Amino acid sequence: MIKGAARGNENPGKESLSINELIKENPDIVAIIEELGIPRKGCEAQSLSFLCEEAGVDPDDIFTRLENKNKTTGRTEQEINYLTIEPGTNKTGKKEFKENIEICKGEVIALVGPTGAGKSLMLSDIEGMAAGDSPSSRIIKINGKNYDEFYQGKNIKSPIALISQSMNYLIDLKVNEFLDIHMECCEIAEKHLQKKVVDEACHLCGESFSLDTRMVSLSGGQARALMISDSLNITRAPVILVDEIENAGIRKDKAVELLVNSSSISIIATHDPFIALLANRRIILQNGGISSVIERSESEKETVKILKKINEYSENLKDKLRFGKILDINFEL
Amino acid sequence: MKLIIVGGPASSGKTSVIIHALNNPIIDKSKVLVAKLDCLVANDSEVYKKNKIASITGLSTYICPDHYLSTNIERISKYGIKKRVDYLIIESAGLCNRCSPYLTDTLGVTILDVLSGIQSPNKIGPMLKSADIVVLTHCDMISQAEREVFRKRISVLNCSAKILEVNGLTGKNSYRLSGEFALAKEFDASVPQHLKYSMPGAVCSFCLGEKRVGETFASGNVKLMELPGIKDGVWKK
Repeated sequence: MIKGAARGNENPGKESLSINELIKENPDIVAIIEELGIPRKGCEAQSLSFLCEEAGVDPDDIFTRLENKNKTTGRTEQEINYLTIEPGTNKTGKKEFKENIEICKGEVIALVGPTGAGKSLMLSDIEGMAAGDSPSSRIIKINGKNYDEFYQGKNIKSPIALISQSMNYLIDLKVNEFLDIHMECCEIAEKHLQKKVVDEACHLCGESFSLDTRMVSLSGGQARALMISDSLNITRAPVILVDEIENAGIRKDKAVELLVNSSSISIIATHDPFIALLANRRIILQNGGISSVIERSESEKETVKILKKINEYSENLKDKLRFGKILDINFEL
Repeated sequence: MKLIIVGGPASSGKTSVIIHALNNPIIDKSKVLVAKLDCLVANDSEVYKKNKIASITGLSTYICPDHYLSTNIERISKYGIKKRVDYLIIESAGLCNRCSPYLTDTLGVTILDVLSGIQSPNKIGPMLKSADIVVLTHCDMISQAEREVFRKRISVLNCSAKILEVNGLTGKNSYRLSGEFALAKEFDASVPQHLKYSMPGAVCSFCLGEKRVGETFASGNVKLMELPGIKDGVWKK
């Protein structure tokens, strides 16, 4: 113990614990013990310092490696319960909105407003967890913590995923090979998830693709569908930002349905009334700032039903068009 | 004076990121000097001038740009001290994958373009491993998943480096880099400076201008490639 304290070790006394106790505390230690060639089987009750001496290993080395491992795992340790937008200023420099906007776990929010009104800036602020230093001077907090408090200088994985129109897959691999790499990076071992990712993605787009398809040959819509399904199943991002889903060439209603049913916070920039009304609240942006926040009203719930019919009808027409049918109109509300 | 060394492969956005980082309120009231080292041509002084940033340029021409940098770091830092600047940024030429220009006691920033593909962190060696901060550019162009893989691969190679995503065009997130600049240690000219990683060796006939290729004309520090079928320099029959 004295040795640990004298060296400024952050784990004083830990080397006197038994292997079993240490594993209970942090299971990651198993890999490190095996890496260093320290015998484990049959020695579970022995203290670490004893075993280290036997194997000629410095116990500090184990704890340093463990610390590094913790730093690189990139897991977001805590659950994300709510996200706060503290208003900044609009293009004219005036305060954009009076109150903070709090968005809870599982909630879907729509961002609406004319082009150039600041939807993309809002998404960019949220994605980068702006701390009053972006052009809008907004402050974004997660669980009440700002960027610095949340990350504390560590390289933990961002809890926020962004799917935008400018994003592309660059990698030249088959879908399953790429998912392998991504799952390894997210420390997910469940291979069967790959099929789920592709199935969900195919559900969103017209022509289906398989795990054997090459990433570069995916169409724009297929790629966007894969991004959505991948964010939900593999990244498992607690916050998902989507920029204009309706332009992606995918079944927007199904895509939003997936987001609505997930436990993530979803924020969708859109021009589509149907998508905007699937969200329970919508933020109206004008002149670079938030002008109001509207909660979906009871009467709007009726509107959704009609919009759903219109959307189904228009999807139906699109399918007819795609498959070379004649587009005859017989529509009744 | 704070000395900051910025490196990275060619065209990864070093100049744009530096300009955005220096233009943030936390720094832009200080006296700043950028020393740009390049190989053949450097038009960046005009870009810096446009952004009202003082700069000096050094061209390595016939010498390896990284060796040139290591030789001239002392001169540049003395110049910076003489000019009483608060921030001296040394922007290296686009580095090859074997080099790392960083010194033990100064802030080292590597700029990487994520468009170079998710294999690139593994191909870039010392420059990435010895950096204190890794700045990623063009992050808005690739998928979230690839970005995650890219970041993960960097943190496996260098777990202590901070990874920042900065947009070189819009300057998004550049203030986080400015903050890191402001926190950098003061440069102490009285302490001898060391490279964090040794430079690749050369000193061979080609360094001196030999143009004829082949083993016959290579002399000095020469490394031969091992191929199946050659043993101790003799081709098997």
